[in-house]
Amino acid sequence: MEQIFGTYFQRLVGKVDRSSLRSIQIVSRDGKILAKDTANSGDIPSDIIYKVIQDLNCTDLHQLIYNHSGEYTVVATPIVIDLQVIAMILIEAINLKHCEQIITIIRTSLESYIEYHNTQEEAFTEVSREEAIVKELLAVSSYDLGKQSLSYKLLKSLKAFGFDLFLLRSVILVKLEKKTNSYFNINLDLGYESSVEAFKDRGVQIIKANKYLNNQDIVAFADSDHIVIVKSFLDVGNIGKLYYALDNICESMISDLEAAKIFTYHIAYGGIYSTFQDVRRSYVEAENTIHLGSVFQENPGIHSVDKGIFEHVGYYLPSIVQHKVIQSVLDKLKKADGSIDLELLSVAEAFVDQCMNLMHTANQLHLHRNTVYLKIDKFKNKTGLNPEKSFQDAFIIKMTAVSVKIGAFSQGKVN
Amino acid sequence: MTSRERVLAVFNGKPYDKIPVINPTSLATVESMRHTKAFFPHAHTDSHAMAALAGAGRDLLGFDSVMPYFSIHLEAAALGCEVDWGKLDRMPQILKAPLLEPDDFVMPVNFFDRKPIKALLQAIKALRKKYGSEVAIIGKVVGPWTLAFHLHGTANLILETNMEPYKVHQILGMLMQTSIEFAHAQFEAGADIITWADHATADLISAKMYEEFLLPVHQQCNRALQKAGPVIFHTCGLVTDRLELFSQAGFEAFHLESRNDVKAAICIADGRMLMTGNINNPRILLNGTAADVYKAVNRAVEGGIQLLSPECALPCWVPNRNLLEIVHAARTQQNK
Repeated sequence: MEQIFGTYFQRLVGKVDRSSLRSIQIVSRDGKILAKDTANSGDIPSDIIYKVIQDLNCTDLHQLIYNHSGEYTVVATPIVIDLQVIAMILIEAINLKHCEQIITIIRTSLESYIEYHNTQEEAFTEVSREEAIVKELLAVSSYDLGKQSLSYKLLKSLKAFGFDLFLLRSVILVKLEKKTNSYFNINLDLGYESSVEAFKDRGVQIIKANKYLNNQDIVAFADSDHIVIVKSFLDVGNIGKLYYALDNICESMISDLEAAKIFTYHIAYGGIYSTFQDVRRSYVEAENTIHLGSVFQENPGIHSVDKGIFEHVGYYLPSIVQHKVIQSVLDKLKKADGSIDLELLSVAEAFVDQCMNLMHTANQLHLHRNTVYLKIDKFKNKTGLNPEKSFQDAFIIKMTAVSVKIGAFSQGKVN
Repeated sequence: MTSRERVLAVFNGKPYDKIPVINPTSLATVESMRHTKAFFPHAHTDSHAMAALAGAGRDLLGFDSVMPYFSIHLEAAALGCEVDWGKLDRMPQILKAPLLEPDDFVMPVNFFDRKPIKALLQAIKALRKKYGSEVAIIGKVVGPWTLAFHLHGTANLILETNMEPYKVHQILGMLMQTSIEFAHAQFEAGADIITWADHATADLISAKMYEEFLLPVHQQCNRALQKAGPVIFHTCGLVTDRLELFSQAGFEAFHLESRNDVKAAICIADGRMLMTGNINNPRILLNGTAADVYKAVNRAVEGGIQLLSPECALPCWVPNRNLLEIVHAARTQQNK
């Protein structure tokens, strides 16, 4: 209110033709002067102010009140917000008719500004508060460890809303994939769109009601298809246990969400970190886990690192290893036409997956044992890798196979 | 009408002359300590100091109740926790929890003879002897949830609600008996009312967790204490999402923090629980003026609060003049 009655009021008064008035003041319901035009030549006498306040008729909220007892006629009107009188404007008039117009304009302008100001504050304290926090937490175009920092305004907001800045946190990401109905190769609108939009409104509420979430956790849509949960934890001195707890939480959320069968759900979580600054990093990890899960897992639902350990290791391999080791294996597998012999690579991968057992490999690939033997031999001669003699060679073969599969969607990798 | 009659009239649904001012939690201030020569940390565990400092609430400040259990650590200390009893203006804290496993716990036979427990019971007896039927005496117990925090570790317990829920049920079932028996002992020593401190706060657990783990325990405890006397449930923080559940637990009253809207709370409780509170501690009592306290009291009364009190254990540097103002403001309210 001080800003409104101070700064904004002065700007309004600055636009007014002052030749028809002596002074303008805003007073509170008990007569205290809240603001006055800086150019005025004196305050309106306090007995006139109190008389005007007494004459205020609460049933007529847009009334003009006149007082002729002083040297100048004083015209006054109440400022009303939500049917409550919050202050009064008083003008010492030289030209009364002109001042009646001025006071009406000033009142209308102040009331509009105050109502707009209140609406902005209210809007921020409701659902959009958490959306605003999530958007700001995720809104960095690139991040570099140690360099990213939260804005002072966000930190202040987080503290003001009661968030403990020092809890451990992980991002759980829920991706909503709309189930489509395709007939005759076109998507028919069978009336699901309104249900989709209605669910999206409820989706956040369903997750917020999950029994494992508390007031320190933040839930909001990051965009139209992703719900972000910033889940907090107390430090038990064993981060591994917290990851198992996250598995339970994700299962519980999927169970809550699957009641609404409009969507297919993909859910994953990122690393647990000790600062809000790392929420973005955790979000990226969760997003990458969902990408990898979409490639390597057949079914939607919970995607987690332990369901695809090799895939995750392959995804996060240092670029030196990618270029120096993996690429050189792929180069050695090139055929005459320049393409990579993926069939040979897949046999080698299956051989490694089956712990170098020829019979099991043959069964998996539905090939004869001798065929598998010849292909493995060919692979060894081409690449120099012998998984039967070296675990590192076996690991390189697996990473090469995984890298090829990941390479197919490498545009999805978020930095 | 004596202070005690006034307070009990509210609990019994009978007419009373003025809105009572009580302290379900610590009212100890440095000023009161200096006046009574009963200082923290000594007053946490010495019965004479406890009684003297509790009596300041009546003799210096004019409250309608006295409450000699200032911390929430007596049971934990008696059951084996290593406790730092704090300083003049710093409350105690648990240094080391015994990491209780359900199979390890046995309630000690001599629990009521252990120093901090015995001291409290003696303090209650001394206060009853001093004040007779003039003033209401409020005892306090730490409920099984908070006791589990102390004995097992807060982080461990919260994690186990996720990973090993059966263990949490076991622990609460075990510790519940300690709280019930301690409450009975305090009623027998002369307490009129018990504050039940169990921190099912929204910053730690959801309302559904309260419903799953604690509500059945609280219902059982309240059935056991029904004939003994009224119980005020204390838990910090925003409680709107769980107040309906609290109302089903059987407590006679709830100690409301200032972040909660009194009218909304009373509406949710719908006559099943009285409300006490909810004068803000940090902003109003610690840093506010007497005028701020007066307005806060008016707001609470207009909201429908039935028993006025500070919202939680006081910071020790709260000036006594602000506490006097609560009583003064309460006395100027329209008589019931």
